[in-house]
Amino acid sequence: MYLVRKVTRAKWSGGEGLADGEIPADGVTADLRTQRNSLSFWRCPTDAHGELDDLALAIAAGRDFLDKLEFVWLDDDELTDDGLALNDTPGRTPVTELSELHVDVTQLDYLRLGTLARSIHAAIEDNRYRRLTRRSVKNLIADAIEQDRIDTDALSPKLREQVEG
Amino acid sequence: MTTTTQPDTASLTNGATVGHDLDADRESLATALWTSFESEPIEDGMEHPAETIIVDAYRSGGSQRLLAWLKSLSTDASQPSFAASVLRCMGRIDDLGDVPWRVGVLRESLAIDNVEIRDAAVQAAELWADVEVVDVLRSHSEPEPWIRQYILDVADDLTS
Repeated sequence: MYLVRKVTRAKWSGGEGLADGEIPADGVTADLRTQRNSLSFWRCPTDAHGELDDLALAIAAGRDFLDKLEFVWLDDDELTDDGLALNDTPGRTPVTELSELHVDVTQLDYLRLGTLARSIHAAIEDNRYRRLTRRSVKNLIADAIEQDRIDTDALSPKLREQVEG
Repeated sequence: MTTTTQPDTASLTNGATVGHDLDADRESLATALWTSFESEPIEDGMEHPAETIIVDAYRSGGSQRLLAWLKSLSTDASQPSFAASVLRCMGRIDDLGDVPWRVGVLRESLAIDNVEIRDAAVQAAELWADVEVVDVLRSHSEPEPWIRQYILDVADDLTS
C-alpha cells in the first residue's frame, strides 16, 4: 500500500548552500504544514498509473480551480516501521467513492515530521513522483463527471465552470 | 514563502526616475504581497489572498506601472521564492497585461538561474494558456529534466 500526498517539487530541489541529499527546509515548511499535528494523505493499493490517477482525482476535485497537480507516493509499511501513526478519516472530496481512502498521519512531533520529510525527499529522488498538467487534471475530472463518479454540486463553482466550459 | 528576509524593494526600480510616492506605492505593494505569502503559502488549485492584492492594484489605475513592478518582482533573482510566488499568482489572473507582456515575463523568467522561478514561469504560462508562448517554451533549453518534461507537456497541451 502507498500513501499519496501533493507536493511542490521546486521546493524540494535543493538550494543555495545545500549539499546533495540535504533536505531543503523550504520543502518542509511549504508542504508539511500540520494541523493538530497531523498531515493528510490518500491510500493507494498499488503504484499503477490508473490507481494513482484516482487519488489525483480525489485531490484535484476538492480544489477551488483547475490547476496542475504534483504528488508523491510513499510506502506505508516504511512509514509505520519508522514509528509514524496512521488514522483513517473520511477525505474531503466530491468523489465520494474515494473518500474512504483518506488517511491522516498523526501524532507528528519534530522528529517524526523529519522522518516524513526524508521519505518525501527520497520519493522524489526515486522518481515516485508525478506531475499532471492542468489539461490532464481537467480530463480526469471531466471523465469522472461523465461516469457519474462526482457529485458535481460539491465542486467549487469556478472549478465546475472550467471543467464543463 | 519560507525565506525570512523581506525583498529589497529599492532594487525594483526600473532605471526610471520615479517620485517618492511611486517608490512608496511600489514598496507598499511588495510588502503587502510579502506579508500575504508569509502568512499563507500558495497551493496549487487553491485561491490565495495575494491574487486579490494584485487584482485590486491593477484595477485601481496605473496598470502599466503595476505591470512593470510585477515584472520586476517576478524576475528578481535575489528573492527567488518571493518571485516564484508572485509569478504563480500572476498566472491566476486571466486578463493581466497583454500577450506580448506575458510572453516577455515568461522569456525573462526562464532565463533566470533558479529552478523555482523557472518552474513558476511555466505554471503561469500554463494558466494564461496563450498559444503565443509555445515558441518561447520550445526554444528554451531547460537543464532540469522534470521542468523540461513539464515544458514539453504544457506546449503540447497549448497546441492540441
